[in-house]
Amino acid sequence: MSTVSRLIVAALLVVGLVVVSPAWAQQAQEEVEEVRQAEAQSEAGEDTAEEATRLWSASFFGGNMSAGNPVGTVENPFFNTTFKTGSSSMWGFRASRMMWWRLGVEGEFGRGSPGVNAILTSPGGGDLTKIPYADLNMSYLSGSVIFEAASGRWMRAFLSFGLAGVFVSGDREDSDNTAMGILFGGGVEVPIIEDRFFVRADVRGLRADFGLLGLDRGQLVGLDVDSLSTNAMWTIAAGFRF
Amino acid sequence: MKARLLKRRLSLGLMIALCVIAAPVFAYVPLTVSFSDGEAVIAHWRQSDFPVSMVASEGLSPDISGNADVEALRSALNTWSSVDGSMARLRYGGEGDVQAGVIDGINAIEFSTSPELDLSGAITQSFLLVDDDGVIREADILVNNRRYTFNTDGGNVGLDLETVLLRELGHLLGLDSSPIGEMTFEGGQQEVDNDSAVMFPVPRGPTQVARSLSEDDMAAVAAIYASDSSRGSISGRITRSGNPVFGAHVVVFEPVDQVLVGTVTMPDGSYTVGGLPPGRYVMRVEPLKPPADASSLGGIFSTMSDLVNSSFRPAFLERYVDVVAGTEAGGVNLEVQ
Repeated sequence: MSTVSRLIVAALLVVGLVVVSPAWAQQAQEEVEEVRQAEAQSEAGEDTAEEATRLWSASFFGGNMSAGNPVGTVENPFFNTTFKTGSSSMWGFRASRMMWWRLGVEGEFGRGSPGVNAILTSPGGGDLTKIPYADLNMSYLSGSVIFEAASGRWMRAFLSFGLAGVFVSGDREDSDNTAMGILFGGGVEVPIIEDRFFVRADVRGLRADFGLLGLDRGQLVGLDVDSLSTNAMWTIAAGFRF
Repeated sequence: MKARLLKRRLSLGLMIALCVIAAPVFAYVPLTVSFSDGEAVIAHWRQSDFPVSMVASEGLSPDISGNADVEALRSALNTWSSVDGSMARLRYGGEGDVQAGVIDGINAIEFSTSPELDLSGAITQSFLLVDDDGVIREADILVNNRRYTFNTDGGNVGLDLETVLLRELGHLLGLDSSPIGEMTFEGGQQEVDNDSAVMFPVPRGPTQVARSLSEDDMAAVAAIYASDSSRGSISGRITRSGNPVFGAHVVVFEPVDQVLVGTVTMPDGSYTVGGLPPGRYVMRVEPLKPPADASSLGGIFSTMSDLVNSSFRPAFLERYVDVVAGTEAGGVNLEVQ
């Protein structure tokens, strides 16, 4: 082969390389992407599996409880006396487990010492005076269904509704009492530290037919006031998932 | 004979007459008969006088056949004798030829149909013979059976006899009227609310029956004739701008057992609400008001009525008071505006 012929073959080879090169590089790139995707899918799969095992959560909370409505009123020609539970700090703990779809169950214990206030008014409605009338401790133990209403990377929002056993005790004779009630409300949970820990804010209503001060289930003589007590609560919790 | 009796009745200058209609007054306030050395003298029986025997005039009420009137009287006597924490005892002494308002050593209940009573609007009238120390030496009750008729079955004709006697026997024990109660409108008519004290100054009308004592009535008799230490008391002073308030109505209330008891302050503003069942009480002070206002006060309140203060605003004590059996919660003072 002459020198000229050799140059022509070499030139064709170079041209061929130049022409073929993008297809080869693209194939290699695709292979790299496939590997990367596979790796990414693998990592994602590991995360999903890890999250799937964190169905349980436990938290401790503190907050405030206060009365939403009177539990009884006594009227006579000299006094209109209305009783309401007072306001106090509270504490408690919760444990929950997600069960199916967006539903889970949650158990909760809470305790506060709101006391009882007597609100005195003259029969004409004037001369309002509120006096702390009695000590009262209130505890509850509840079982609720929780519904995860919204879920994102940075927040979960949920609603809850359940039954509660309410236990009250005080410094007056016959003030101990137990009653069933309902606990309802909702909250927002924000994960922190690799999604294993979280903080959570809740609002709750605890409505129960418990008596006060030995009164007959909160219902006093000659009353038409609702004897059910609704206590509003807000709590801030810190917890972890496992 | 009638003139002589009338003269004897009118000569009882030492007697205190208590009429239902012109009733002298107070919250379960003991009947004050005089004011001596800065202290009110309270009419009372001595412990040794119990049981006080009451003799009824023969036949009692002509309106009632059979023995029902005697049973009504017995029941009223027994009601006052059955108050926990009180040693007061009244008993039925049978029937006899007795007259009320006569000093004869007999505690009489006379049912009278005398024409003398035509001009009287009183249903009953009590006469207490009281010595300087306040000790009741004799007590009579005159029942006006001339203008009023009585029944024992809660019927529409006449007044319930036991209700009438129960109230008058309270005076006989040394209780004045009580403003613990109120008037309500029923069927277009004004009448005494059922929850009012037996000693409320307005008598129950026809068809109204009040045969049991209120807490106010029981506290009164338990305070004057305490038999044990099962009850307690609250005491203090009511002032306005630092000055004592005379004639202020002090009402204490224990909501759980619905114990509502009142009294009226003395000229130095002091008060004592005794005979209280143990419990946690709230307190209110208010001026006396009709139908138990200053104009109807008896005892020292009547003689010093121009000093009774009725111009202050009602006020609540801004704390509760725990009453413990056998003790007095003292120093419960309140400044009113």
